[in-house]
Amino acid sequence: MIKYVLRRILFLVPTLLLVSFCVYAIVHAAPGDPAQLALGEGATQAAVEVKRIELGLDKPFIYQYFAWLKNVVFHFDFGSSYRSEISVAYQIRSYFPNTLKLAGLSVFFGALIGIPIGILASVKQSSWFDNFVMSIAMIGMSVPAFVLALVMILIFSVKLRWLPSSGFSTVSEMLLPITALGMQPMAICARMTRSSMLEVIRQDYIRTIRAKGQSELKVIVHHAFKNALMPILTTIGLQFGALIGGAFVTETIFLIPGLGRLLVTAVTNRDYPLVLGGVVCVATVVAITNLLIDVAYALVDPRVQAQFKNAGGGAFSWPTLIKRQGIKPK
Amino acid sequence: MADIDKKARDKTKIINIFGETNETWRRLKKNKTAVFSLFVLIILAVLGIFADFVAPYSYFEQNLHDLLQAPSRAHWLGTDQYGRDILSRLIYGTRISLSVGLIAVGLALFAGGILGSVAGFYGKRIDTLIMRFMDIMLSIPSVLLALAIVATFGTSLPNLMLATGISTVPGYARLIRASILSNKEHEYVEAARAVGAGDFEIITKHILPNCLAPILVQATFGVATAILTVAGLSFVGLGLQPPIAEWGSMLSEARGYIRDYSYMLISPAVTIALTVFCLNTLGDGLRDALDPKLRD
Amino acid sequence: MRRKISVLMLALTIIAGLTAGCSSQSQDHTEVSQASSESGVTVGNEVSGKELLSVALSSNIGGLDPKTTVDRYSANVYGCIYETLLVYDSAGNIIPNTIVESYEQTDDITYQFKLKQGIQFHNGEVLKAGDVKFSLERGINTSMNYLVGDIDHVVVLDDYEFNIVLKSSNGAFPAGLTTPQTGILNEKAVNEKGEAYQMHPVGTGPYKFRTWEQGVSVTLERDDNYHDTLPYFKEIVFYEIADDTTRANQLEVNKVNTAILASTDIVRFQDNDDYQVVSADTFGLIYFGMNYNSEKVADVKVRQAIAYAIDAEAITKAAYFGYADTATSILSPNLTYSDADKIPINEYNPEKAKELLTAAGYDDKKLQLTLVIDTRSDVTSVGTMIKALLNDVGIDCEVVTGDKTSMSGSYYAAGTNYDIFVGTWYCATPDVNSQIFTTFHSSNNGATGGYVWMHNDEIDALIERARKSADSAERQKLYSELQMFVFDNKWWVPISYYIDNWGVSSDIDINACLDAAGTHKWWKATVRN
Repeated sequence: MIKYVLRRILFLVPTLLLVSFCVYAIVHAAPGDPAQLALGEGATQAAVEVKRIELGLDKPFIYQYFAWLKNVVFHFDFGSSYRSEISVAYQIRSYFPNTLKLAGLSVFFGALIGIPIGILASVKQSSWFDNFVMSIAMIGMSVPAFVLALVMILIFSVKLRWLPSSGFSTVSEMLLPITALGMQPMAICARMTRSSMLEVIRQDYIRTIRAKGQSELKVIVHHAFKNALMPILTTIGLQFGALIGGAFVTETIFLIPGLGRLLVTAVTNRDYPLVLGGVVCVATVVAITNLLIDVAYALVDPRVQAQFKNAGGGAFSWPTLIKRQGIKPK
Repeated sequence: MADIDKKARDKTKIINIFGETNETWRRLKKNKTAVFSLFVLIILAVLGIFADFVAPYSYFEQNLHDLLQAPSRAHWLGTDQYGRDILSRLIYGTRISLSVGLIAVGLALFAGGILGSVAGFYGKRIDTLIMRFMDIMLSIPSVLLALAIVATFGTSLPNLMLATGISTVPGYARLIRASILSNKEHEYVEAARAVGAGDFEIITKHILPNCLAPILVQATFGVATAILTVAGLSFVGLGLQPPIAEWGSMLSEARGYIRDYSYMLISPAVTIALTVFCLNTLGDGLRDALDPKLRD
Repeated sequence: MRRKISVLMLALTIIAGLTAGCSSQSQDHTEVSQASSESGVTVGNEVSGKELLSVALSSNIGGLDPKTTVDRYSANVYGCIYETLLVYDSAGNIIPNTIVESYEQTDDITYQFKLKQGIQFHNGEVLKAGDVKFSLERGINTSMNYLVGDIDHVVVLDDYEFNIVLKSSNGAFPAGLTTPQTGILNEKAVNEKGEAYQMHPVGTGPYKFRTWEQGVSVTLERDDNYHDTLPYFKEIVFYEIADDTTRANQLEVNKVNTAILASTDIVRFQDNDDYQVVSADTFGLIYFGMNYNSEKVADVKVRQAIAYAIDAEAITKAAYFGYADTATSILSPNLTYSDADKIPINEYNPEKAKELLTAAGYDDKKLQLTLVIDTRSDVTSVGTMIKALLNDVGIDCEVVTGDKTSMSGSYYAAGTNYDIFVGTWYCATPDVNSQIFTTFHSSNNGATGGYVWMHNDEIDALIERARKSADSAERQKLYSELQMFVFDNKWWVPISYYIDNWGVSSDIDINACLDAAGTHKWWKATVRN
């Protein structure tokens, strides 16, 4: 197990390398001159030329990437934004906590409401309750988050003045963004929970436990749910990862300084150091989240643990394991 | 002799699929919401296909003197900031939104299918290589990827489909890989090999059909997600060239008018929500109908 | 099993801990933003509602060092921190600013200055000629180049006297010295702080820097030791809110008391007694342009035909709801040398357009043009309307769009793959040269502004002469010639002049602040009684 964790952490390095290189290549390929963008419109061509050389943009693309890499590896220096010349590390440090909070709390909110709904729906499968509740969950997922955000701001902030319309420091400020962003995770959690529970409930061992005389509540919560937990956790992990870099719209509407906004602005300005710094940050978080989920997976399910021990951890990733559990129909 | 066997085998397979389909349909029918959703989706598709006949106005005709009209007799859903009829634009928008969704999913399914099949079937090194590559794709924020693609290649319809679909490829790859892995060891695969079937034939003719269920389900969700993604991209400014009508662009254009002309936002929002809801419900219903464990 | 659960719990706690731990970092920011969140009583700060001016800008604050950041939004912020050498008086003349005792142009290329003595920077250092030399010379070949690029060197005569010597005469130069981008920095502070300077900017202005919450706001506080009249407001917070709807909402819930509004948001504030809508002139306009390199529009008759198809008035009304003026000249009427009142509005005559097109050979064959726009909402609006109008006279437009950066890079940079476009321009200084030179001189063709890609030696010569000359009569003549040239040849068809509309709390008066250059003098804001 420890070996597996260490291998995964070590694997982070080549992952980050590849991710940063891919992103660099992609953004580099996009039209637009970072030097001219850094200077702003109205700059003279002469000044742009000087800036290009200053930023090293006249060197070949590979050279530029390795220059960046060298600074990161040997000096822990992620460079400065092309535009503002403010250190990339400083900016990321300022934006990152907000994103972490936003993504974490939204997913937590989603899970908090979605899981119980899913459990209840699975227990009363095909009943009106099941249909009704799942339909509500679906609706939460069917509206784009920003529409929900706009409408909620309109109602709760502007018209009713109950809640603040922006910011992210106090509890009341956090309520709206988390609700808006948490709708989709909630719906997905509910569906995943329901589906996973359905799989488990029909297993023989559940029937056995019931026959043994355990209370229904204990059967559901203690036995069935625990076994259904893994795919649910995986989904939560996925949702969290997606929100880390992808909450741009919500961040814009609620004026939350988050990584999503930072990345979009950086890409728009072709601010390569800032883009790279942001992406490395996001990729690291996603990788660590996946690792934690995998470890949790192994800890809870002895069958999975055995597989880890056998295979040495190389080719396994959590989704294989979900599918092996047979959550989706064969 | 072998020919007759093959024909018999094929016939049995067809009957099986037909029988399965029948069975699936019967079970699906029990889920009233799912059937309703299917019905709605079919209507939407028909409206989109016959938009030229159904829509009262064109989707690009501007009327600079009839701007921002609230819903009325002449314009059932009102007009937008250029004086274009919103209802017509919604109807024409069905084409783009549904096709972007379907093609984005189709492309992702195709690419993911190939990657997942190869990874699952051949295993070991190739498997690790492909799956790690998928992990890397997942680490790149999808908005970023979409931004970069559209910035580089332009905002045409195909590029939008690419941008929407590309970040879902790892998901399909994993799904198909998992299905292949769990079916790989079954007897019929060995039987097929014994008769001399090649790898490609085994994968496409024998294994994949058994994975149809989860793929189908995931795909319906995928279309729904794609529609929402396009709406989100329009928000970031990656919309289609005007005056193309597309629900997501209509939504993002209506953003500035939400206070005094809220009907501009409501119509596309409700349409998107309805479509996505129906797709999701249908997907759920399909999954229930196809799940062998749930046979009563 | 219990052990495994507890390990799981541990993992989750670690995650929660990280999350919570990171939140303590935002505590300092909390106080600042809390202090300015309600316009009433605040916590941890004695600024009451009436002493706080909170301004919502419509773009990101890029930086607080003019060398790197010259956009006019950031300049609004650091314009309160730094002071410039020159300033405009109410009659439009350029006169010395508060830190300058005397100023004289002694010859074609030399400007002599004498600073007032004893003026202190926010860090206690005294303003000396060396600081001016430092501030101006460091800007050469940077973003500031359009303002100081002509400087050859600054001669420091003694602690308070210096001469600015140009490479060649430039009539537009003094106007550049009135812009906040040429504000004077303290050499010692910049060198000391190095990379971190932007988190500790230091100037001689009426406000000093307090904090910058990245991505949210910059807070300035009044320098009570300021050497001139103290401003009214004790504190100014500048919010960066790029999204129009969000910005209007912030004003409506009183999170800010001043905000620039998009045309769609104005109505609800106009009818509301708690607010006033203040209109401000700008130097900006939106225009329709044609590509000099394009063969399809090379014939002036074709360009005239296209121009006849465009109804600038209807477009202006539709796109801006009356909150913009129909444009005439390529130069905003608020600029000296503009002939906006003399040049007529582009004539809308679709019949004539069709005639000219037929005469040019586009009878059965349709003229097909590539129209470049970008995804900014008003550019998209105008572009969409123009496409429809051109369609009405039988011209087919293929519209290409994307974010401004990509469009610039893909089309304007190359100059060969488009025929027509919709663009916007804000003249960066009060002197028209900064607009004319960047948009029509052949040395600037490309993504920096010369989207028309004009290659006309005569026009180049005209622009250079006008730039060099210090004689306003001569410059007026040359610029009038240029404006007529563009009008006759239709390289630009100006559509609308931008008007900035500020939604302001009704008890605040910002009329004295507003500057058509877009960099407003916020220290002049006061309250009404």
